[in-house]
Parts: sequence; C-alpha cells; structure tokens
Amino acid sequence: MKCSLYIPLVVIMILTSCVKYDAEPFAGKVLPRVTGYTTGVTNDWLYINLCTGEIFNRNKANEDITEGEQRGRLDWDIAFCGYRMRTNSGTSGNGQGAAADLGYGEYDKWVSISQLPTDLQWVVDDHSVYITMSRNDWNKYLIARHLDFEQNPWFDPNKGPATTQTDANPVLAGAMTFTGPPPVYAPSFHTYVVRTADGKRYFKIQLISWYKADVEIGDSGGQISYYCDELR
Amino acid sequence: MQKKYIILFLSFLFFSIHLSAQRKVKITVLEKGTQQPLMGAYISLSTHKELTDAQVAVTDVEGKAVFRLEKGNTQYYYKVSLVGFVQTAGTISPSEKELYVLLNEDVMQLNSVVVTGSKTERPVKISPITTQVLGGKALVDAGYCDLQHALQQETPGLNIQKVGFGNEISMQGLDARHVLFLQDGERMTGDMAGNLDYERFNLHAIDRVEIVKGASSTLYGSRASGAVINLISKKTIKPLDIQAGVRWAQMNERNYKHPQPKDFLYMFEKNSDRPNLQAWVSAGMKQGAFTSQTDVWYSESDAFYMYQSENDKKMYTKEANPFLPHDIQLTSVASRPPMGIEGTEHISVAQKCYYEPNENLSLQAYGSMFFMNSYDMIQDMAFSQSRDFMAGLKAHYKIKDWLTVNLSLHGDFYDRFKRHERIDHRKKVYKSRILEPRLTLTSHYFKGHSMILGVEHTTDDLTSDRFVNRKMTTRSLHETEYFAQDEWTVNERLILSAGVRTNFSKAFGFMWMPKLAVKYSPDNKWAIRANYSMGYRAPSIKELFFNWDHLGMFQIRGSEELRPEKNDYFSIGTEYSTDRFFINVNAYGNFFRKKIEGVWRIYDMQYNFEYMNLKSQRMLGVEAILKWRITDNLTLNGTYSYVNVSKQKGIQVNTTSPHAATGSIDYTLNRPKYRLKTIFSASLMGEKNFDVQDRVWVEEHQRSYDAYFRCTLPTYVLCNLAVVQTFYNKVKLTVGMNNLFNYVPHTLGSGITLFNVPATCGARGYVQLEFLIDDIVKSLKRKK
Repeated sequence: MKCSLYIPLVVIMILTSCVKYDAEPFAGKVLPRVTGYTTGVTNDWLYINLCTGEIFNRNKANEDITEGEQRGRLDWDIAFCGYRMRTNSGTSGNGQGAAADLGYGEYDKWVSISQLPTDLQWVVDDHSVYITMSRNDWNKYLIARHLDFEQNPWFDPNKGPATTQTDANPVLAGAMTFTGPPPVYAPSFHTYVVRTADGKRYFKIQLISWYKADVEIGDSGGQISYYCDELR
Repeated sequence: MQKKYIILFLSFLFFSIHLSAQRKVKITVLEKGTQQPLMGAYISLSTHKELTDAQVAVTDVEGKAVFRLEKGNTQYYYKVSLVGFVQTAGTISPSEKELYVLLNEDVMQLNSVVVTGSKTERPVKISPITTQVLGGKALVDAGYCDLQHALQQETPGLNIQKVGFGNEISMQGLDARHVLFLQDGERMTGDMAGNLDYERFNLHAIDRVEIVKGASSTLYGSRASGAVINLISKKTIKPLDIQAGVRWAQMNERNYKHPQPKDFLYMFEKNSDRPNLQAWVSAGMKQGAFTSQTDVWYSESDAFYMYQSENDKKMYTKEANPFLPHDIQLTSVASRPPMGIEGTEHISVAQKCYYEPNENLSLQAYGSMFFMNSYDMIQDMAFSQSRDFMAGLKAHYKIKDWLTVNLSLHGDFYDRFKRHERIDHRKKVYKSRILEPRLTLTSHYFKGHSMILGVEHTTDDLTSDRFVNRKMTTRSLHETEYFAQDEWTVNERLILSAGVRTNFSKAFGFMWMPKLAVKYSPDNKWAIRANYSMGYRAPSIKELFFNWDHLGMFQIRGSEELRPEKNDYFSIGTEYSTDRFFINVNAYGNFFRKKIEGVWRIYDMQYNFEYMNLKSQRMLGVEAILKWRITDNLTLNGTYSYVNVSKQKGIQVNTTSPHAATGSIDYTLNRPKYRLKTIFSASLMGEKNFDVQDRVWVEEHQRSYDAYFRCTLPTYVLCNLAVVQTFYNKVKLTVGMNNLFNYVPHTLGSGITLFNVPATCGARGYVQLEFLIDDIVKSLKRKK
C-alpha cells in the first residue's frame, strides 16, 4: 500500500524537480559589446548601418565616430547607448531617419512597407531623453560646479544613478525601461519601425532583452538582444 | 511422562481459572458530533483513580479497543485521549461490558501539551510561560495554503509579507532577526536578513505550532530575543495512518498568453504562469517499538504583479528633518513600475523514525529534503534555486525516575543557486551550514521541582560571494552555551521558573542571560503570569562580514566591530479559561540596548548601507487572545495587538503598525457521518506611519541633505471564507475564497516601504480535497 503511494510521488518529484530547457535557439541579433555609463563614458554610442551591417565604435567608445561627429555623417542609421537609441535624424544627425511605434508585440506581422499605417507618427531625435552619467563624468560635473562630493554622491537612493539629457529618439526610449534597485531592465516588447538615414529604407526593430542569450550567471548584462529586419 | 501430563493439566487448570475470572470490556470511541469511530485513541484503564499501573490500548479502525479485566466488584477508571480532541475520563462499573465514549473536538486548544516555554512537556494551561498554540489540523481546516498565511491570520501582531525576492516577517515591532523558527525544537539555516524559506514548513505535517513571545534566549540562545515559533511535527499513534490531499486555486495573474519555444524568454514566461497546485501525503506507521512518519508536500504557485496607478509621492516633514525650511513633497516624474511577486515551485520530503523499546528509552533519527525554484519577475536570465538537507539524531533515556538524559545532534545544510533560463547551467551563490550537538539533563528529584541543565555547541558556517570581491568565501561563528532552569511548583496555585544561560564565543567573549517567570492561579479558571527575561542576539555572519558592491551604485557593509545586542523583556498577563471561554491579556515592555540596524551613510563618494549598534529602542505593547465557544456549533476567535515603538530623535524607523487584529467565526454542523464547517476569518492591519532614510534637495539652500520621508500606508482588512465538508471522517472537501472582499493595495510604497504592503492580487478561490487512504481502503475491504 505504502509502496504504491510512494512510486507516483517519486515520479512526480522527478518530473517536477527537473528544469526543462526547451526554448529554441535565439535567431535575433546581439550588440557586440556593452555600451553606456558602465564603460566610463556617458555618451558611449555604438552606431550601426542597417543597410550594410557595418558597425562603428565596435570595440570602444568614440573609436570611429566621436560624440558630435555623428551629426555630419550619413553612414549610420541607428545607435545604441545602454538601452537608449538614436536614429540619424533631428538633433542626433542630419539624415532623414525617424522612428515610429507599431504597438505591442506582433513583430512577425510586419513584413512590408505597404503594411505601415498612413497616419504613422514618425518621430525624430531630440534632446529630451535621459541617460545615466558615468561616474567619471559625474565627478567632472561636480568639479566644474565646485560641488561637494560627499553631499552629491553619484547614486542617490531617491533618484538612482545621476542622469543627464542627451540626443536620442524619444519614441525608441520606450523600448526598454530601467527601475531599481534591484536593477530591472524591462523591454516593452513594442515593435518599432526605423527609417534609414537616406530616408528610403525601413527596418522593424524589437528589443528582447538587456542580456544576451548565453550571458554568464551574475553578469550585469548590457549586450542587448534584439530583432531587426528590413521591411520590403 | 506422567509427571509431564500432570504439569500440563495443572497449567491448563490454572489458565482456565484465570480466564474464567476475567471479563471482557469493549470500549468504542466515537466523535461526538458525527458519531464516527475514532481510530488511534489512547485508552488508559486502571483500578486507581490516578491511573497508576494502567492497562493501555489503542482503538482500531472501528474505534474499538478490548480490555480483559478482573471479575469482581472492582470499579475501573479510564482516560481517553487523542490528538485534536478534548481528553475525557470516567469510570466503568463492575457490570459494564460495553462502553461508548464520545470525544469532543478540541476547538479551544487548551488541552495541548507544550514544550517550547520550558523545554519539558507540560499542559499549556499549567505552563508559567504564555504559549499560544495553533493546531495543525485546525490550520488545514481553515483553508490556509501555507504556514505564512496561517501564522499571519492567527497570530496577533505577526506579519509576513511576500516581496519581490522572498519574505519579510515582523512581530511585536521586531523583524525576522529576532524571531526564531524551530522545527521540533531545532534551528534551521539559510536565512535572508533573518527570513528563512518559510516554504520549507509543510503545513500538513504539523501537529501544532507553539508561539512564545518575548525573549527566550535562556533556553534557545541568540535570535530568540523577540519570539520563538516552534513547529512540532506529527507523529502517528496509529498502526497505519495515510492521509493525502490535493489543492487547486485560481491563478493570481496570467502574465503571458501562449508562450512559444521561439520566445527568447520562453522559460521565464512559462514559469511565471504556473498553476496554483498542491499535493501532499502524510504516511505514518507504528509497529511495536518502531514508529515511522513520512511527509511529502509539493506546491507550485504563479507569480504576479502589483500595480500603482499614481506616481510615487514622498513627504519630507520638518518634524523628522528639523533643518528643512518647510515640509517638502516630491512627486516622482516617472510612473511607478509594477512590483513583481515571485512564484514558487517546491517539494519537501521528511522522514522520522522512532525506536521506543520501553518507556525509558527513545531513539529518533530524522531527515528532510527541500528543493525550491523561485521564479521572480525580473527578466535577468536567471531564477533562484534553493536546496536544503536537514538531519539529526535524538536519544532520550530515563535512568531513574529522577534523571533523564537527552542527547541530540542536529545539522542543517542549505544551498542557494542561480539557474540560467536558457542554458542548462547553475551557479552556487550561497551556502550555509549549522551543526548543533546538545546534551540536556532533566530531573524531578526534588519534590515539585522540574530542573533542566544543558550544554550546546553551535557551528555556523556561511559561504557567499558577498564577502570578498564577489568570490565565494566562508565565514564562521562558534558558540558554546550552558543553560539551567528550574520550574518549582510551590503549591497548586503557584509556579516559579528561574533560569540562566551563559554564552561563550571567541568573537564576543562571555555573556549571561537570566530569566524569571511566575504563574499564580487563584482557582482553576484564573491565572496570572509575570515574566522577566534577558535576550541577546549575536551579530549574524552577514552583519559582521558583508561587503557587497551593488553594481557600483551602493555598498552593503558589515562591521566586525559589532557587539551583540541585548534586550530586557518584561511581561505581565492574566488568563481566564473555562470549557467555553478563554481570554488572555498580556502587557509587555521590551527594552533593547545596542540594537543592530542597517543605516545609510555616505562615504567614499557613494552610499553605503552599513550595520551598526544603535542606541536603545523601546517597545511597549498589549496583546489579547479570545476564544469563545458560544454554542456547540459556534466558536468565536479573536486576537488584538497594540505596540508602541520609541522614536529615535523624532524619527520612527520601525515599520510596525501600532494596531493589528485577527478574528474568526467558526460554525460547525454535525450530522451522523457528515460534518459541515464554515470558517470566516479576517485580519486587520492598522495604518502604518514611519520614516524612511533618503535624500532631498532643498532649493532654498541649494544643496541636498540626508533626510527622512514619512511613509503612510493605510489600514487594510483581509477576509477569508472556507467551507469544509467531511464525509465519514475519511474524506474532506474544502471550498474557499481568500481575500473575499477583493482588497488590492493602491499604493506600493516607496523605497523599502514595499516590504510593508500586503502581497495580494485580490479575491481568489480554491478547492481542496483530503482523504484518509488507509481508512478508506480498510472500510472497502470490510464491505467486501
């Protein structure tokens, strides 16, 4: 009697205690490196030419395109700094770029330009988006304004890490949010459409995770996983 | 040869005479309401009123036991006892051959035997230490899904909050670091800020919960400075006792619809929406001197979010921050993100084996396993896994009537891992071990005195990546403690208890803690108890050695300079109890010295959360427990707790609400072979007002200050309803609704205040089915 009871229990235990890894391999893209304040540079932007796949500042901040220089260049379409993004438009660049929000999910639904709504709200970059300041830049900021280091720590439990405004796309700023502590980077899973610098081609993009698929346990992330495909 | 026949004949004659001089008496024990037989009831029978030299029998599946008694005019005295029922006694006349004994369910829990207050078994009514007893069966009947909910709803002033990453307990103005949880009197390890994985406690394996409030450091050492909650597990008294059950509850929240394997967060999505399911088996067996008890519990629950529609508001008052030119209110520019409440999946298996060849010797070996996955709502590609193995040996030997030796060796081994959500890989992040050998001697040599003398050694090892540069490093504490206590029953009315514990550790040197308790009972109904005890709490390994940088944002730092905190606990209470009415009112004062708290301080150009010995803190409170059996069918239970915690320079850092109350109305309808029980319960948590350390920018001064913002969290009431139907005392069907009136908090609080919001998603229903398997099988066999 007892044995017959224990057998199903042991089976339940074995079945339930196992962790099943049945997700398919990730078919999207991953940023080649971590960008943003953790590298020591506040405006550490990684630029991507969506048409050719060319990546600028692949290894370190300002390696190929320094901050400010991007405005005069038309060979990039989108850029990442932490979880913020730029398009080659408005205050970020002189291109014809822009971005629009296509709503939550349904990434696979969008395949052609003809599907795009005619009343789509295209938004160009401006100087309203906040990014986290690096500790180096915060210290320079305090020195420049003769502010007390002890009175003005970089991390404030009320406001989080120090931030500053930068040139970025305000619509794409909704693609991922950060809250903490504990630090939580939550993608909105909205699909966005990005217009290239020449204003002729369109790419859909969806941020999936702050982490890459094979990130090591304990790694603080930053190599964003995302989907990006051209709308024909 | 002839001689042999003569001996056989004489023997036969002797036994025949002996048998013919005996009479058989059949005793049937039934439950009073349902008239259903009660199996496993202990019947003691003797010619002496005090039941000395008693014959003992245990009732079978039909509730029957047979005694062979001497013929003649002798009157016999009997006593019938069964866990969960009121003990009854009576007489058997010389002519009686069959007797029916009806047992009442022990709804008042006043007949329980408790051990926690004095480390020796004694009835709760007689104990000089006020002990609240919660019956395991009653907690399951009330429909609680786990111990956390049961304790919160049944204990005055106790609050367990489930937060985004674990649990947080508070009681009488104290946090988890001052509340010691014990399993059968033994410590457990693997805590986070004093909070254990409370999921380790299988509600269905609990015989009773004993709660002793106030400092009990004399008997239980460090961490028992606020309260002791001792969970006494079941031990069967039946030859075979198998109970099983399943429970299904509505989902808390559907977070993801139709997750697909191609989803990046496929495992995360699946795990956040697990069904709310539980299943358990409790199997006991008693054959001669050997007793075995096995308990298995599986449970899973889904994660959910709590929401706040308005942006966070913080009020910095001039009262708490005298340097401010005026009160400042800050409204966050960003909307408040939802707060994720983790879901869990866990399984626990516990095995206890007893060998009791005679009444003088008892040997016990026990072991348990626990595995848990905690699925938080943080999309960080990892979830938390914990694992625990607990094992031990206990020996109890009564050398003479006046000396009993108790030896025990207890170990608990806990590990916590981070497991990847896309790669089959996990990383150990925390390892904790305790090993506790103990020797106690108890004696009743001196008339009226119950003395206990003990020595125990604790080895506490903690390995974590939060001590040195994110590398797994071990830190240890070793303590040797001696304790002695005498309970002196001066006369029928007066009991005195005095005890002392000494503690020696390399880190903190020598300490001693006394205690004194007195109970005076002017009659059978009234009792007055007074208690003084000194508590102490050695700094935990984390408080001493933590050194963890939180992504360069802030640092949590322990301090090796910390000293143990001490507290003086005074209480006086009165109790009135009859068969139908019980009230206990207890007033207390708890005075802390060098209390250890975490404080934010800025240095090295960043915020540091640092543990330090603060100055004194004082708690004054009153608690009341009421049980009123209005009729045989209707019982009213209520508790109330008031606590006033002293401010520190006008600042209230303690997050406890001054007022908390619980109440329940139980209605029972008994019919032959059927019982209907309806339980409506409510718990009230009063408004909370406390100050949270923070930082504020003052425009007039053009600078920022360390400041406190006032957090106000509103009063709330959570109500539950459970309808329990029992068929033939063998199958129990419970249908219930938690959070009946759908209370959902509208504010999540700011900063650490989120630990103080009830983690509820609103009204949710459940169905629970329990059955006594062995009884059902036996009944079916008998019918065949």
